[in-house]
Amino acid sequence: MSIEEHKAVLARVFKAFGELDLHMIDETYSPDYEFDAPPLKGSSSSASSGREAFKQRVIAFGDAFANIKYNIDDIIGEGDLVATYFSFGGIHRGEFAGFPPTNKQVKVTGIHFTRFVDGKIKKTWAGFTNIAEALSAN
Amino acid sequence: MTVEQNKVLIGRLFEMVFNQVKLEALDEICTPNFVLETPGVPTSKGIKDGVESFKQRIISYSTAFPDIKYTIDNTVAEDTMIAVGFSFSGTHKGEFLGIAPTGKKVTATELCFAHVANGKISDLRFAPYGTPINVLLAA
Repeated sequence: MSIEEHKAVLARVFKAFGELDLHMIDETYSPDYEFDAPPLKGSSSSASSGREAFKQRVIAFGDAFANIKYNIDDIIGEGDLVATYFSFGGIHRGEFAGFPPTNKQVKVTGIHFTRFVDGKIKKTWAGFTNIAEALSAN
Repeated sequence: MTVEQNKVLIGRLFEMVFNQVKLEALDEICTPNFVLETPGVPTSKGIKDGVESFKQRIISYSTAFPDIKYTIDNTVAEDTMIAVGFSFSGTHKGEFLGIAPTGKKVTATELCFAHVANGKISDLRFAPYGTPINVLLAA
């Protein structure tokens, strides 16, 4: 797979996150997929593995933010890696990463790294650049 | 800028500024209107800025962890943008995020994403990932 094809996969998956299209995860993520991302409710560890665990994470985002929509602001690729600067927005209606709901329209930004192996997403790492600022009540 | 030149630029940021704490090098590494986006940095006129905020962040880390050492783990570069995954290790000897010194040696991980213009970094965003430092210090 080329770098441009890797980027096209990232565009598809970020769109699918917003549509809660979990079927896409089976198509594009490796069966032994691993991820390291900020822990959400019910998970004390930041590192996890498996497509099913990741689906629960996508659902948790949708539960916490009404009308959630993701956007890739910047995307670059080199070798088997793709990096994005991304954002997601929605109405913060549920507890998220320790922040109680503000019921406000919010925008959270983050950085996301993906490693591809044999055309499938093998590993991702991600973090937020502004979560406390975006989700604090004041 | 070529991909290789961008890697040299980021390499200088990590080695000279982060590891050797030569803050004066930032003036040649960052553009004058440099934008910093990182957790905990206050906004000014709706944007996060700039070199002064960046210096304060670097000093706060190197004061809390005097033996701090940064390592670049992964790099993704194109002509106008570069992103790196990095880790840093240090011994907690000064107050950090309101936590009194614990003497613990910790290693934390972050991602950063930069835009490059005219051979300098015009904006730089940081996103911690993995176990947060405050959790590591409390463990």
